[in-house]
Amino acid sequence: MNDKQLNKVRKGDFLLLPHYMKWAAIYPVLCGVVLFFFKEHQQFLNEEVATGMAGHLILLGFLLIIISRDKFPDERLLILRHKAMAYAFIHGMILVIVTPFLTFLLGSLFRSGTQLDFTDYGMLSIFLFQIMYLINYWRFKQEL
Amino acid sequence: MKNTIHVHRAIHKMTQADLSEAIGVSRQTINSIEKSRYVPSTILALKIARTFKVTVEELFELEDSDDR
Repeated sequence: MNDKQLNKVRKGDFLLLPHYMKWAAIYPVLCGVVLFFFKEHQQFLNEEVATGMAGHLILLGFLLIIISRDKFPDERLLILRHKAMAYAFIHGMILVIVTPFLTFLLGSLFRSGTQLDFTDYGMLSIFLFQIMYLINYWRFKQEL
Repeated sequence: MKNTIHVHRAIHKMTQADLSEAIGVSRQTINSIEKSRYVPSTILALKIARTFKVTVEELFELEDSDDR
Protein backbone atom coordinates (compact mmCIF):
# COMPACT_ATOMS: atom_id res chain seq x y z
CA MET A 1 0.00 0.00 0.00
CA ASN A 2 1.52 3.37 -0.99
CA ASP A 3 1.28 6.60 1.02
CA LYS A 4 -1.67 7.93 -0.98
CA GLN A 5 -3.70 4.73 -0.49
CA LEU A 6 -2.72 4.59 3.18
CA ASN A 7 -3.88 8.17 3.69
CA LYS A 8 -7.22 7.39 2.03
CA VAL A 9 -7.79 4.36 4.29
CA ARG A 10 -6.73 6.36 7.39
CA LYS A 11 -9.18 9.14 6.49
CA GLY A 12 -11.85 6.44 6.22
CA ASP A 13 -14.42 8.11 3.99
CA PHE A 14 -12.98 7.05 0.62
CA LEU A 15 -15.95 4.82 -0.21
CA LEU A 16 -18.53 7.52 0.41
CA LEU A 17 -20.45 9.38 -2.29
CA PRO A 18 -21.22 13.13 -2.27
CA HIS A 19 -24.05 14.40 -0.03
CA TYR A 20 -26.44 15.15 -2.91
CA MET A 21 -26.60 11.40 -3.68
CA LYS A 22 -28.85 11.07 -0.58
CA TRP A 23 -31.51 12.98 -2.51
CA ALA A 24 -30.80 11.14 -5.76
CA ALA A 25 -31.51 7.89 -3.86
CA ILE A 26 -35.20 8.84 -3.62
CA TYR A 27 -35.70 8.00 -7.33
CA PRO A 28 -34.73 4.28 -7.29
CA VAL A 29 -36.67 3.76 -4.02
CA LEU A 30 -39.74 5.48 -5.47
CA CYS A 31 -39.48 3.53 -8.74
CA GLY A 32 -39.09 0.28 -6.77
CA VAL A 33 -42.12 0.96 -4.57
CA VAL A 34 -44.29 1.99 -7.55
CA LEU A 35 -43.18 -1.09 -9.53
CA PHE A 36 -43.88 -3.36 -6.55
CA PHE A 37 -47.45 -2.11 -6.02
CA PHE A 38 -48.38 -1.75 -9.68
CA LYS A 39 -46.64 -4.83 -11.09
CA GLU A 40 -49.96 -6.36 -12.13
CA HIS A 41 -50.96 -3.27 -14.10
CA GLN A 42 -47.93 -3.18 -16.42
CA GLN A 43 -47.29 -5.32 -19.50
CA PHE A 44 -43.51 -5.01 -20.01
CA LEU A 45 -42.24 -7.42 -17.36
CA ASN A 46 -43.66 -10.63 -15.96
CA GLU A 47 -44.69 -10.50 -12.30
CA GLU A 48 -41.67 -12.35 -10.88
CA VAL A 49 -39.17 -10.20 -12.76
CA ALA A 50 -41.05 -7.04 -11.71
CA THR A 51 -40.98 -8.10 -8.04
CA GLY A 52 -37.26 -8.88 -8.21
CA MET A 53 -36.49 -5.62 -9.97
CA ALA A 54 -38.57 -3.62 -7.47
CA GLY A 55 -36.66 -5.23 -4.59
CA HIS A 56 -33.31 -4.47 -6.18
CA LEU A 57 -34.27 -0.85 -6.91
CA ILE A 58 -35.28 -0.35 -3.25
CA LEU A 59 -32.02 -1.97 -2.06
CA LEU A 60 -30.03 0.26 -4.44
CA GLY A 61 -31.78 3.37 -3.13
CA PHE A 62 -31.08 2.48 0.50
CA LEU A 63 -27.47 1.64 -0.37
CA LEU A 64 -27.06 5.12 -1.92
CA ILE A 65 -28.49 6.71 1.24
CA ILE A 66 -26.12 4.66 3.42
CA ILE A 67 -22.93 5.41 1.48
CA SER A 68 -23.58 9.12 0.92
CA ARG A 69 -21.65 11.63 3.02
CA ASP A 70 -23.39 13.73 5.66
CA LYS A 71 -23.81 17.46 5.20
CA PHE A 72 -20.89 18.24 7.54
CA PRO A 73 -18.80 15.05 7.63
CA ASP A 74 -16.20 14.77 10.41
CA GLU A 75 -14.43 12.11 12.46
CA ARG A 76 -17.28 11.75 14.99
CA LEU A 77 -19.83 10.92 12.28
CA LEU A 78 -17.37 8.50 10.67
CA ILE A 79 -16.95 6.66 13.99
CA LEU A 80 -20.73 6.63 14.54
CA ARG A 81 -21.12 5.27 11.02
CA HIS A 82 -18.74 2.40 11.82
CA LYS A 83 -20.50 1.69 15.15
CA ALA A 84 -23.90 1.68 13.46
CA MET A 85 -22.51 -0.71 10.84
CA ALA A 86 -21.27 -3.11 13.54
CA TYR A 87 -24.58 -2.98 15.45
CA ALA A 88 -26.58 -3.44 12.24
CA PHE A 89 -24.50 -6.48 11.34
CA ILE A 90 -25.29 -8.15 14.66
CA HIS A 91 -28.98 -7.10 14.70
CA GLY A 92 -29.37 -8.05 11.04
CA MET A 93 -27.80 -11.47 11.60
CA ILE A 94 -30.03 -12.16 14.61
CA LEU A 95 -33.13 -11.21 12.59
CA VAL A 96 -32.03 -13.37 9.66
CA ILE A 97 -31.43 -16.34 11.97
CA VAL A 98 -34.67 -15.87 13.90
CA THR A 99 -37.01 -15.08 10.96
CA PRO A 100 -37.17 -18.62 9.45
CA PHE A 101 -37.86 -20.12 12.90
CA LEU A 102 -40.59 -17.55 13.55
CA THR A 103 -42.12 -18.22 10.12
CA PHE A 104 -42.08 -21.95 10.84
CA LEU A 105 -43.46 -21.48 14.37
CA LEU A 106 -46.26 -19.13 13.32
CA GLY A 107 -47.02 -21.33 10.31
CA SER A 108 -47.32 -24.34 12.62
CA LEU A 109 -49.47 -22.46 15.14
CA PHE A 110 -51.99 -21.25 12.59
CA ARG A 111 -51.69 -24.36 10.36
CA SER A 112 -51.31 -22.08 7.37
CA GLY A 113 -48.57 -23.97 5.53
CA THR A 114 -45.36 -24.95 7.27
CA GLN A 115 -43.30 -25.12 4.09
CA LEU A 116 -40.35 -22.71 4.20
CA ASP A 117 -39.35 -20.72 1.17
CA PHE A 118 -35.75 -19.50 1.43
CA THR A 119 -35.55 -17.82 -1.98
CA ASP A 120 -36.11 -14.26 -0.77
CA TYR A 121 -34.10 -14.43 2.47
CA GLY A 122 -30.96 -13.02 0.79
CA MET A 123 -32.75 -9.84 -0.28
CA LEU A 124 -34.67 -9.66 2.99
CA SER A 125 -31.49 -9.98 5.07
CA ILE A 126 -29.78 -7.16 3.15
CA PHE A 127 -32.90 -5.01 3.54
CA LEU A 128 -33.01 -5.70 7.29
CA PHE A 129 -29.31 -4.87 7.56
CA GLN A 130 -29.88 -1.56 5.75
CA ILE A 131 -32.86 -0.63 7.91
CA MET A 132 -31.04 -1.57 11.14
CA TYR A 133 -28.03 0.48 10.02
CA LEU A 134 -30.14 3.58 9.29
CA ILE A 135 -32.02 3.29 12.61
CA ASN A 136 -28.79 2.80 14.60
CA TYR A 137 -26.97 5.62 12.82
CA TRP A 138 -29.86 8.04 13.43
CA ARG A 139 -30.07 6.95 17.08
CA PHE A 140 -26.31 7.35 17.65
CA LYS A 141 -26.33 10.80 16.03
CA GLN A 142 -29.04 11.89 18.49
CA GLU A 143 -27.44 10.36 21.59
CA LEU A 144 -23.65 10.53 21.07
CA MET B 1 -12.53 11.88 30.57
CA LYS B 2 -13.19 15.40 31.80
CA ASN B 3 -12.43 18.46 29.71
CA THR B 4 -12.31 22.23 30.12
CA ILE B 5 -13.11 23.22 26.57
CA HIS B 6 -16.18 25.26 27.57
CA VAL B 7 -14.02 27.23 30.05
CA HIS B 8 -11.39 28.00 27.41
CA ARG B 9 -14.12 28.88 24.96
CA ALA B 10 -15.53 31.37 27.43
CA ILE B 11 -12.05 32.86 28.04
CA HIS B 12 -11.56 33.32 24.28
CA LYS B 13 -15.18 34.50 23.87
CA MET B 14 -15.84 31.81 21.28
CA THR B 15 -19.11 30.05 20.56
CA GLN B 16 -19.31 26.34 19.74
CA ALA B 17 -19.88 27.33 16.13
CA ASP B 18 -16.71 29.51 16.11
CA LEU B 19 -14.60 26.69 17.51
CA SER B 20 -16.09 24.12 15.14
CA GLU B 21 -15.29 26.38 12.20
CA ALA B 22 -11.73 26.97 13.46
CA ILE B 23 -10.91 23.25 13.64
CA GLY B 24 -13.10 22.02 10.77
CA VAL B 25 -15.70 19.85 12.50
CA SER B 26 -19.45 20.20 13.05
CA ARG B 27 -20.93 22.13 15.99
CA GLN B 28 -22.58 18.92 17.21
CA THR B 29 -19.11 17.35 17.55
CA ILE B 30 -17.92 20.20 19.79
CA ASN B 31 -21.10 19.84 21.84
CA SER B 32 -20.53 16.07 22.21
CA ILE B 33 -16.89 16.59 23.25
CA GLU B 34 -17.85 19.22 25.84
CA LYS B 35 -20.48 16.91 27.34
CA SER B 36 -17.90 14.05 27.42
CA ARG B 37 -20.06 11.90 25.18
CA TYR B 38 -17.37 11.74 22.52
CA VAL B 39 -13.60 11.42 23.02
CA PRO B 40 -11.82 13.21 20.15
CA SER B 41 -8.91 11.77 18.19
CA THR B 42 -5.36 12.89 18.98
CA ILE B 43 -5.36 15.09 15.88
CA LEU B 44 -8.57 16.84 16.92
CA ALA B 45 -7.39 17.24 20.52
CA LEU B 46 -4.15 18.84 19.29
CA LYS B 47 -6.08 21.15 16.97
CA ILE B 48 -8.31 22.32 19.85
CA ALA B 49 -5.26 22.83 22.07
CA ARG B 50 -3.53 24.84 19.33
CA THR B 51 -6.62 27.02 18.88
CA PHE B 52 -6.63 27.90 22.59
CA LYS B 53 -2.78 28.03 22.78
CA VAL B 54 -2.68 25.52 25.64
CA THR B 55 -1.43 21.94 26.05
CA VAL B 56 -3.69 18.92 25.60
CA GLU B 57 -3.27 18.08 29.30
CA GLU B 58 -4.76 21.46 30.22
CA LEU B 59 -7.84 20.64 28.15
CA PHE B 60 -8.36 16.97 28.95
CA GLU B 61 -8.05 15.08 32.22
CA LEU B 62 -8.39 11.38 32.94
CA GLU B 63 -11.01 10.26 35.48
CA ASP B 64 -10.88 7.25 37.81
CA SER B 65 -13.33 5.40 35.57
CA ASP B 66 -10.84 5.67 32.67
CA ASP B 67 -8.28 3.54 34.54
CA ARG B 68 -10.52 0.49 34.52
